[in-house]
Order: sequence, then structure tokens, then C-alpha cells
Amino acid sequence: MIQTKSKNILFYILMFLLALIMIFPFVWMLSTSFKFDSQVFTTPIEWIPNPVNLNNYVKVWTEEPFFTYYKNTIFVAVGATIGQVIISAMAAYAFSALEFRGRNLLFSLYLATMMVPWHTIMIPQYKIISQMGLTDSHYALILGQLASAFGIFLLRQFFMSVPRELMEAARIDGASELRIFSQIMLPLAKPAISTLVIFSFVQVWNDYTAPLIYLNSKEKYTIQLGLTFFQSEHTMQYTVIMAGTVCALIPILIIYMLFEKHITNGMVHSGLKG
Amino acid sequence: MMKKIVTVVLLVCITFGTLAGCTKNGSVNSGSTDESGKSDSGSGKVTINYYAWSEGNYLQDIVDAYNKQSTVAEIKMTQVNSSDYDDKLITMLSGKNDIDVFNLRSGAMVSELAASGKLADISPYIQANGLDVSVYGTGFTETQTDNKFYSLPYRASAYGLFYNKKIFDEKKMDYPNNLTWDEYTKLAMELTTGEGTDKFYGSYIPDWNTCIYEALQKGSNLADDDLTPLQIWMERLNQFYNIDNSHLSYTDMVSAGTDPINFFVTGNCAMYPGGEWTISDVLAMLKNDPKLEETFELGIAMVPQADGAAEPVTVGGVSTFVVLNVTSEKQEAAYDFMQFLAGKEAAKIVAGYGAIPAYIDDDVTKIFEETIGVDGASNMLDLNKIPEALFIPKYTAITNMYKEELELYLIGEQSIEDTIKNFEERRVELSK
Amino acid sequence: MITKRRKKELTGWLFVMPSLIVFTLFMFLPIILGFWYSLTDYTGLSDQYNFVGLSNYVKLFQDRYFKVSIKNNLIYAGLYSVLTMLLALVLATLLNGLKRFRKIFRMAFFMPYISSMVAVAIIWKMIFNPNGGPLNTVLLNIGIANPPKWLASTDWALIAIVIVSVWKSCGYYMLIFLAGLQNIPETLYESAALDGAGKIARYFKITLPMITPTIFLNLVLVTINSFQVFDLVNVMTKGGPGMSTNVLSFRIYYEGFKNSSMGYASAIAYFLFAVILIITGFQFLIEKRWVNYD
Repeated sequence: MIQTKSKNILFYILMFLLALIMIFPFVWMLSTSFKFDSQVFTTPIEWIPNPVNLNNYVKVWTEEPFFTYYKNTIFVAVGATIGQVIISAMAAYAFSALEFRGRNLLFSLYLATMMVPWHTIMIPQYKIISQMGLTDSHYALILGQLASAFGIFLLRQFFMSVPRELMEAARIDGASELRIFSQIMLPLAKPAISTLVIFSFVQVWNDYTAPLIYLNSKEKYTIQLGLTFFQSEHTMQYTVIMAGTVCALIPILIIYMLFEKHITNGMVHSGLKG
Repeated sequence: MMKKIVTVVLLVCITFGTLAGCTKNGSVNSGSTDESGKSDSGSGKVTINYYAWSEGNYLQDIVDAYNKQSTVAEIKMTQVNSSDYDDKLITMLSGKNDIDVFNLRSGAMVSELAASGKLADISPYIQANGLDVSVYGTGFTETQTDNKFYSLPYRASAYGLFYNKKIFDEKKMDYPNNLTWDEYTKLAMELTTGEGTDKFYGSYIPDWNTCIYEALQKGSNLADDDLTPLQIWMERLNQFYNIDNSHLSYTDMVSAGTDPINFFVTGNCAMYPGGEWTISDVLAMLKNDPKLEETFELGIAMVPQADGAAEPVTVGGVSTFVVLNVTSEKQEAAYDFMQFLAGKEAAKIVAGYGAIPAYIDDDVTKIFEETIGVDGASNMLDLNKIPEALFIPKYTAITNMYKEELELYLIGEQSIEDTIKNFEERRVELSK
Repeated sequence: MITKRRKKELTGWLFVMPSLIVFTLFMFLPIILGFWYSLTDYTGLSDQYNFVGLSNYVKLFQDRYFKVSIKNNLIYAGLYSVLTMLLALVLATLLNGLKRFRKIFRMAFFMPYISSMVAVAIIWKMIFNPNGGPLNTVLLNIGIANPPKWLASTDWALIAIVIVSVWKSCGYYMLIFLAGLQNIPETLYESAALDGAGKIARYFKITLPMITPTIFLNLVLVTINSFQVFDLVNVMTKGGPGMSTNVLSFRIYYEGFKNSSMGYASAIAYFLFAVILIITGFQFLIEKRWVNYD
């Protein structure tokens, strides 16, 4: 019908406009990475740089050991993401499908850690971690990331919507909790786990504060930390920083594309289907 | 099968944690937990950990120069992004750390940390090495607490009036020279033209600049009981920003996030009063984008003076210090580096980058003038200087308060009387 | 012989153990220590400090900046949570109904969340520029005579921060909603359609009730996050102009790291913690009334 077709087209136009609003800073980032300093702050905003400056990308990779930063960040992000998924899933399973005394209290305590403002535990945490000799180490960053209640909360909610009968049946059949966890729960929670993988990776990848506090040696720096070397006391090299940021975005986009398809299994769900 | 895999992964995780504790213990503290005096580079030299912020490349050159000529120590420098340096430093000092020597950016911070027992008293080392600290001027010798020295200065600051020669050439006007603040105010207004997006400003004073020029030149400061000089300066700022509109207004600066150096060099204003760091930032920007030299040429004049000033005086003096961590186990060797950093060799390197060292003599001045290559550069070094901040622990907090109240006044939320009153009240609160 | 019950308990603790270890080290112990500091006059610098009991907490209520910060936080939290939840839900629903270009659109909506804060701050400052920035230019063109001065105005700065915040994080909550929407079996929709239920009826009678666990999850998360906003404020306004965007987390940072009053800063922090705890606790209490886990 003609009417539905034009409704459809309108719909897609709306979506397109929305998408534009969402990505315009990224477009600006990309465009600035090809500019000269004098073109950055013009009014009105110059979207297509003219002339084009390819030097910023060269600077990013040559003036600073960007490749080392990249390697370090990958190591920390992958380690932290894998670690977080495993221990969050285990804890979430305990909080949703297992019963033990103090379960709900412990869960509340975990949840409460998300409510404490970061700046107030920054120094106490450093005191403890430094006494253990973990400073200037990537392991401090990875372990710190594992102590995040968000993943546990997220997975617990999803685990709770898995029908109890499935698990009960397996228990009656004599399966161990470990088996139920790995062979029933985890596969069913693929969307939730994929979501956690993406969030966890993004958060570690973009994290600035923990690397700042815990890393001292330049050869251990992560990308976010490394980029700040293009800032001086009173000003910064905007164009180069944007080029570096664009380069830094690529792995996130890759992880997103890899895992995103597990979040939605390709079937169209919603009441909008005619 | 699944079970085995999961169990193995679990074990790996737990081992992760424990191994992390064991292995890192060895490699992290190799710098400072060695018995003092013992070497780890096999040449009798001790490794000293030096923390600084991302100042300029002169620091790396100084470290390299020192390492080459020293038989006592090998410096390992860690530089942190300038705006995060303070936070990281405070955090590290609160726990176990490997810092031996580090930089501080104000005298107030030196006295605060000294009062908190974090700094080593270096007076014995100064005496033992026969260092004559009077070479740094009275601004530094007055900073002793209980006759003890806790820092050595290695950089000084000086405020000047920078301007774009090409703008004055275009308008066929004389370059600014020996202005009073009143004359400067008039000149800024004269130079301002246009409206809206085409507006060209006479001058520019950044919102983060808390230097109370005129008040300091009259001998006052933020801790003064008599707040009249401060009030006069604040009202003058209001004139610049809101009445004459000769300077980009406070609200505009804050809302548009303008970068001052970028603003000045790309030709949006004719003048720019600021600190000596402006020179190296401007030169760096010109180097990056040489096309800008078609419309911009740096001029340096003396900073405007207060009315009736007997002798011209600028704001500045020793501004950046190096200090010794009280927990360092290699104090003698660390001091050797401190003295080098505050000495003639390092001063020549600093001057070679267009920054002002704390140690100044004729050779250093010559190098400075040659590097800048702009007339009037010696203005920054020769003049009498008044320090911008007092060497007392609470001065940073007082400056923060001043900035908060000033902002409310400049955006029109508070009258000048209320601003002064609030500032005074909060100052009293602080000293309780 | 371990009883079945003991075995059950043991299994539970075993699953929780790895996280418990890291949490104790990185969270529980520091939190307790932080709370201890709130009862002292610790400056953050000196190792000497005195126990002062609850005087930091008393000081809170006489501090005029504190009162302003709470007000700002409540306004921000209210606006941010409602707008973000709505926008995220709408986006997730729209995306789910797309037939073509789904992947590209989903990625586009997620982009703000992964963009660097530095870039976001710079570009949005340019957009909000009261003189000649795109936003006000558009507003003027559609006939609004005196558009707000956004980040330069004490009335509108907080709203501007809310706008950027909602824009930046809706992709995050949207993704969670998307994951939740997958759990709904297709058969439910089919049988409802057979029964003659229209699109809107199916949405309200099937979709929404089925994703109540996800809504609850997002509600708790958005509440907690709305009280902890820091990076955006730090980068865009530093609490200004005046005190209009001075939120509690910024106050904590400022008092602790810039004014050397770490003890006092901790008191603010634990007060904030109590507020979030009460609100979240309330949400959990009424959870059973509207969330169905099936």
C-alpha cells in the first residue's frame, strides 16, 4: 500500500536524523584530525577541512610510543573483560540460582559499592594497593576493574528470568552446579553476557583515572594516558589529540561489531510487525 | 569437558591475583627499597626517581645533561599531564611510593607539604655543599620555615604584556610601551572593533588567570587585611569584560571554551597580558603552522603599571620548585640533582627554550634574549618582581575562594560589595 | 559426611569467592577507611590528623555550597533519569522494529557512549556557544527572540549538562533494553495477533510487562549514575558558572584535592552515599510489586 510505504520512508528519515544527532561529535573528531590548528575553532564550524592535513596521524604514531600504548591497552582491556565476565557470571549465578546464608546481604553490599563516590575511596584504595606492591603494574588495573558490581547486577537480573524448572530438572538428573552454570545458564544468557563484554571493554579501554593513579612508567601507559602528552600546561594540540582518539576508537568498534550480533538474534521482536 | 575448562580458568584467575602480588613486588620498588647508597646500574650510581609534570622539553634535556656528568646518581624521570599532576602526587604521597625528588608549582604547596611532614629538610645539604641561596633573590630566602629550607627553585615567572605587532602596523598605531593600567584600559577599548562573530578584541585575559596584577604592584595580596586594592582590580576586570567589552567576556570564555593562545595567535585580539609561558606556547604554535606568521608577529612589552608607581615592577619571581621526599632513602644523591637543576648549567638549558630559570646571570640572560629573538624580551628578566603567591599553606585555598567569588561577580550574580564581604568572611572561616 | 545443606552453602560461597577477594581489597576495605576519614580532620596530605567525631557532618548543613550542590544534584538526577530512560526505551523499541540497516543504526546510537569526553566537551561547547553557535542560530531562526545563554547562564548551564549527559549515555541503557527485548518469545506476539490485538496493545500488554526486569535494572543503574556525574561537569563547566553546576561529586573532589580537606570531603561523600542507598533501597522494596521474573 502506498500509505505504508510513505510511512516507512518517513520512519527511516526520522531514524536517519536521530542517528546524525548521535554521531556528529564523532564526525567533528574525524574532521578535526585532518585540520591545522588555526581551523579548529572557527565560527561557523568548518566540517570539511580545507586544506587537509595528514600530518596529525603521522605525529601521533611517531612522536609518542603509540604502538606500545596500544599494546598495553589491549592487554589490560582483554584481561579485564575476560576476568570480569567470568567472576561476575559466577557471582551472579550464586546470587540468583543458589541459596546460602547471607546471600541477600552480600548482594546488597556489592550493590552498595556502586554508590560510593570514587574520589573518596581513591586515596584509601591507593594506600592499600601500594602497600601490596601492586603499583606501576597492569595487574592493578585489571584487578581493580574486576571489582565492579555492575556486571554482577546486570547478569543477576538476566539470570533471574531463566525458568527455575530448567535448573531444577537438571539438579534432579544429578548435574552439578558447575554444569548447570556452564551448560544451561551461560548459553541462555548470551545477550546479557555479550552486553557485558561490550560495556566492560569500553569502560576499561576509555578509563583514564585508574591508569593515571597506578601507572608510573611511560612504557606501561595506556592510550588515554598517552594522549595527554599532547597537552601542555596551558594549551593542547587539538588536531593531534583527535587523530589519536580516532585511532583509539577502532578496537572498540571491532569488539562492538563482533559481540553485538549476539545481543539480538536477528529475529524481529516487537509489536510493530504488522 | 566444560567442567574441566571452567575449573582450569578459575584456577588461572586465582593464580593471577596471587602471582601479581609476588612478581610485581620485585620489580616495582627496585628503585628505592635497595639499601641506600647501593647501586643497581653497576657503575656506583644510584637511581633517583624524579616526578614532574609535562612542562617543557627542557626538563628532559636537563636530566640527560645531569646523567652524563654525574658520578653519583642516574635520574629516571616520570612526567605526568599538567592538570592531573597534583591529584596523582597527593594520592601517591598518601601511600607507599618510590618518589625521591619531585616538582611543585607554587610556594604555597611547598609550605603545605612541609607543614605536613612530607618534605625533607635540605638545609644541612645546602650548608654541606656551600650553596649560596641569595642568588635566587629575596623572594626565595624569605621562604624559610623555622630557618629551614625545604625546596630549591629552578624556574621563575614574569608577567609581561604581549601583543601582535602586525595588528598595530595595520592600524598605524604605536606599539604599547610603559603603559599604566588606565592607559591600557583606554588602549584596549580603542582597539576593539566590530560586533558578534566579526568582533575583534583589544585584549584578552583568560578566566583561569587569578593574578591580581594591580593589587600586587601596590604591595597588597589576597591575604591582606585591607581589601581596597583588590576591589579596585576586580572592578577594573569588570570594566574590561562587561562595560567596555574590550576583552572577551567571562561568560563567553567559559561557555565557548576558547583556548587563549589559539585566540591570540589566530588574530582575534591585539594584546594579551600573561606569564612568560605564553612565549614558548606562541612559538610552538607558530612552528606547527607557519602560515600564521603572515598575520601574527610577537611583541613583548612591560606589563602595565599601577598609577604613580615609582619604579616599574612586574609580577613574578621564583615560581617552580624541586623538593625532596622525606621517605627517600637516597637523599644525598637526590640533593646533588636538585642543586644541578637549580644551578647555572640547567638555567642555560631552560633559557634556551624561552622559559625563565630561577638562576639568572649575564650568560643566562644572553641565551634567553637570543632564543626569544623578540625585542623587549629582557623586560621579562630585568625588572623588579613581586611574587604572585605567598609562601603560606592556606594561600591555595584562599586563591580558590577568590576565584569563586570573582566569578559570581563577573557574571553579574553578585554585587561588588557582597563579593568582598563573602570573600572576607570565608577567609576568616578558613583561619579557624 | 557433608550434609546436603552444607554442600549447597559451600557451593554458593565458592561461586562468590573470586569476586569477594577482589571486592574486599579494592572496595570494602577502602570504603571503610574512607568512612573513618570522614570522622577526622584528615587533610589528605599530612599523616597526622585528629578524630573529630561527627563534626564534619554537622558542618555540611551549615555550608552554603553544600546546600546548593544538593539542589543541583536533585534537579539533575530527576531530569537525567527520566529523560534517559524514556529515550533509551524509545530507541530500543524503534531499533527492534527496523528491518533494514539495523546494525548501522544501532552502532550510530551507541557512538556517543564510546566517544572521548574531551571531544564531546569541545564540540558541545561550540554548539552551545550563545554567540553564533549552531543551536542558538537555529533557535533564533525559528523565532525565539532571546535564546538561553546555556553554559554562560546560571539558569541554563545545568540543563545544558543534562542534555549532553542524556545524549551521551542513552546508548548504554538502550543496549541493555535491547538485550532485554530479546527474551520475549515470538509466539506470544503471534497468538496475541491472532486474537486481534493491535500494535499498541501488543506493546503495552506484552512487551512492557515482559521487560520489567530490564526496566528495573536500568532504573537502579540510572539512579546511581545520576548522582555520580563528575567527568562531564569537570570537563565542561568545572562547577560553574557560579555554583550552578556544582554537583556533590564535584564538591567532594574539590574539597578533597584542591582545598586539602579530605575528611570533610569524605563526609560529603558518605552523605551522598546514604542518599543513593535510601533511594535504591526504596526501589528494591517495591520491586516485587511490578517486576515479573516469570
